[in-house]
Amino acid sequence: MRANCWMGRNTVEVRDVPDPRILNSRDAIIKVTSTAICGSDLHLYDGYIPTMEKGDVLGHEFMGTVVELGPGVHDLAVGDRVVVPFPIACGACNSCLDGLYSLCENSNPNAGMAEKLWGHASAGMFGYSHLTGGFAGGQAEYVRVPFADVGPIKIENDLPDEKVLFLSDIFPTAYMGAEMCDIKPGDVIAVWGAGPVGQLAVASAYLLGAEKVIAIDRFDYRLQRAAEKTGAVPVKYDEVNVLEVLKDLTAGRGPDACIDAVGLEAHSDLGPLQVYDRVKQAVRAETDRGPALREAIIACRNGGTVSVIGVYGGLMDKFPVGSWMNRSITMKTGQCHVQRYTRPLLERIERGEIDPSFVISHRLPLEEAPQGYETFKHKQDDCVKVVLSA
Amino acid sequence: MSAYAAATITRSQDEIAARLAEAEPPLSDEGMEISYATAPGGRGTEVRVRLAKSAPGGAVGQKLAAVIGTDPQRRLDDALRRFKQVLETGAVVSSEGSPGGTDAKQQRSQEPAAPAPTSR
Repeated sequence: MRANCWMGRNTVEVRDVPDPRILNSRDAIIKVTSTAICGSDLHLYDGYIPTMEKGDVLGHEFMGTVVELGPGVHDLAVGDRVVVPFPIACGACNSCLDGLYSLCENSNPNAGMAEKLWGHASAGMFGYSHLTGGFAGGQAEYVRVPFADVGPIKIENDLPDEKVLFLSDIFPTAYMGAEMCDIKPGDVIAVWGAGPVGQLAVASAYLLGAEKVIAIDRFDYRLQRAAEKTGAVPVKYDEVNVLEVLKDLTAGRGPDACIDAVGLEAHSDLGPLQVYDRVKQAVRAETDRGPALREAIIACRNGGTVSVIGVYGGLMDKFPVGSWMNRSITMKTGQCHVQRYTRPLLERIERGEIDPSFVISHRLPLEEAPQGYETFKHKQDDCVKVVLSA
Repeated sequence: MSAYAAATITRSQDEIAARLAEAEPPLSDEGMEISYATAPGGRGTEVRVRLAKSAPGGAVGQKLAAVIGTDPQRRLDDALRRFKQVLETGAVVSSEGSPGGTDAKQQRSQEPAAPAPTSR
């Protein structure tokens, strides 16, 4: 089959690789119909996530048709159309029983590796380095899905791929980011990053009852899209003082909750701090740049919540611990527990409350994945979200 | 230098003890000290294991074994993880990068995360 493979920093190639096979009785083989490039794939592409191997099949946002099932999967049939959550979860350990699927205790064969870096390991994930298990991803014609009796959600109506594909990651991720804000009537929410997850976080915050949602970015086309499609109040951070604007918009209070939808490659227009982070990253003294997270904490109202859904990998400097502690800020975070959200969010899509496909800007065949990565990385051609058809 | 490992498994103590024969060495070894306790809040059973056995070759041998992932501690960690996977999920979990499942030794030389042509 053809698959998009990581071949080194800034290099992906669509290559011939063997077809996947059933390895375990609870596996399914899915013929991929649609897959997407995630902002977090760019962290792999840019070389910021350790433990990638040349030849790794990328991709953790995908959906398709069941073509083969292990004998232990009873609730799916060949021919079923499914969307697959990016975290791999067994459904039987304490974490899964608590609904914390991205923390599954059994699905990461390389948990020992992750424990050295993080203290405890996260779940296995598709196409996302060997720290999260070394699973082949879904930017391919076919993919093996472990624990197919737990993760995949059947799509039993004729909704097009584009409307449901993002149940695999970015819609639940954004929704969980908004849910962690514990939104109450009148709340103002600020979202750092107006990429696909940021835009869906704005939409989710409104779905959950926010009074006003502010989107912070530096790209006009992204802010414009966020304003048009989601009703966000746009703030262009390289032109204004974000903290002052947020104070003005909330009459001095600060946003009730702040969502970091940026993560470890954040950019800052505060020259010296950006240089400081880049240098420390380059000499491996710091793995994660943090201007978005730092600003989100400092901007948040006293007693408010900072919700972190942007991806971080290791260590960050200049964490504003005093602001966080003295002002009773709550921080909530996590890789999304996607399996918890697929059903209720599919229902929201079916009821027409939201159509997450509004983030799509580019549609390409799988063969053109390398071009898709370049366009997305460099934000060429007003790129927001690339969907690949296999 | 003894090896020690602990895990919480969502199964009863009786089931875990009865299926210990399915575990891999060194967890299945004679002389393994194993203790059970009911995990609080209905979380299953706490399993603690201690193995009074060192890698051969004295201090140097132990260091070398730790580096290449064959020392009793890593083998015990692997065996307990795999036993937990078998009890909770029905089988040892494998990925394309770790086709044999949890294995400290193999973690150092990962296969690419792509389907293998034949069984590796």
